[in-house]
Amino acid sequence: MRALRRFWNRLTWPRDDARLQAEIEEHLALQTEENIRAGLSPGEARRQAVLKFGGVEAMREGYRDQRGFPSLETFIQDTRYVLRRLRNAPAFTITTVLTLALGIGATTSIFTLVYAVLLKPLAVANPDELYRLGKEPRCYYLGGYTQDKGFSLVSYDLYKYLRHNTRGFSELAAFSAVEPLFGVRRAGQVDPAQSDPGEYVSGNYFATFGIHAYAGRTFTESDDRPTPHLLQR
Amino acid sequence: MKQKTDVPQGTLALMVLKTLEVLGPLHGYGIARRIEQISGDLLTVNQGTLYPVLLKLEQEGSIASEWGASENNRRARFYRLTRAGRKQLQAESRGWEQTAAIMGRFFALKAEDLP
Repeated sequence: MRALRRFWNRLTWPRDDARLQAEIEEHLALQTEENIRAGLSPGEARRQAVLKFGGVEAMREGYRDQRGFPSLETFIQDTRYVLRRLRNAPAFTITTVLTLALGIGATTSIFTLVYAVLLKPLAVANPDELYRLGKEPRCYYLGGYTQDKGFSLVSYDLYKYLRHNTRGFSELAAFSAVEPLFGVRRAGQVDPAQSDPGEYVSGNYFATFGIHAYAGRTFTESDDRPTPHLLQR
Repeated sequence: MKQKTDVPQGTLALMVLKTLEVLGPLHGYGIARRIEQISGDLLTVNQGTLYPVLLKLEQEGSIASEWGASENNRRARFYRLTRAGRKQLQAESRGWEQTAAIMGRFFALKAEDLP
């Protein structure tokens, strides 16, 4: 509320300046009259009155400080001063700016990485309901560095057994431990095929993740057989 | 010759409030004269310093002001105490009296009075 009033005061400053001027005039006139009554000549009476009133400019400064935004004005002054000093010491300025820039840059890129790897949820329907079954952190993953821990891989028959006898999950999908590369080429193109990583998955894989196809349909459980229907575009 | 002293910070505002309580609505010059009279010319205060104080008090809501006619029919700004100002005056006078009493006791104390 007070800040609001100060803001209003700021807007109405010229009018208030006139008011202060009128008050000063009135004050000096009254003092002059009194001095004349005390026996001074009109000129001397006026002079004594001004003397007694004190520095008008200093007082006006005080008056101005009481109104408006002294803190904002000080802030602007300080900023100007800082900029001036920085310009006078370019070596220091450049070092500081570079240090800050590198610091901010490093922090930002590290956070971006951490966010992408650790924090960002997976782009599937219910990422917090996903579990990977196995007894080692690197389960169902073949290749890369092996360390001395074994891989927990299951056969397709075991997967089928688990799927039919595990009640805790609504779906249990399987995927291959190796990521084979597939040669892919758009129909009718003459360019050599590009090799892209792919995966052998069970028919309910897409249903488990809640992912839909951009066009056509994804695999379904009915495709889990030796001679599936060909998927059409 | 009497030694003149500066006005301690903040006391001018209190003097203004008290003056307005005793004399009722008054213009700036009247307040300045009254403070001089009461202090027996012990205070050296430029009359001009009064106006920032008046503005501060008005912004805080302790006093209000409006244009009126002075004794010799000139336009003058008259200040009067508001209800909030009256409350503030009461609280601050109590504080001052207490401080003055405590200091008075310290100064009146002599070595032989101590147990």
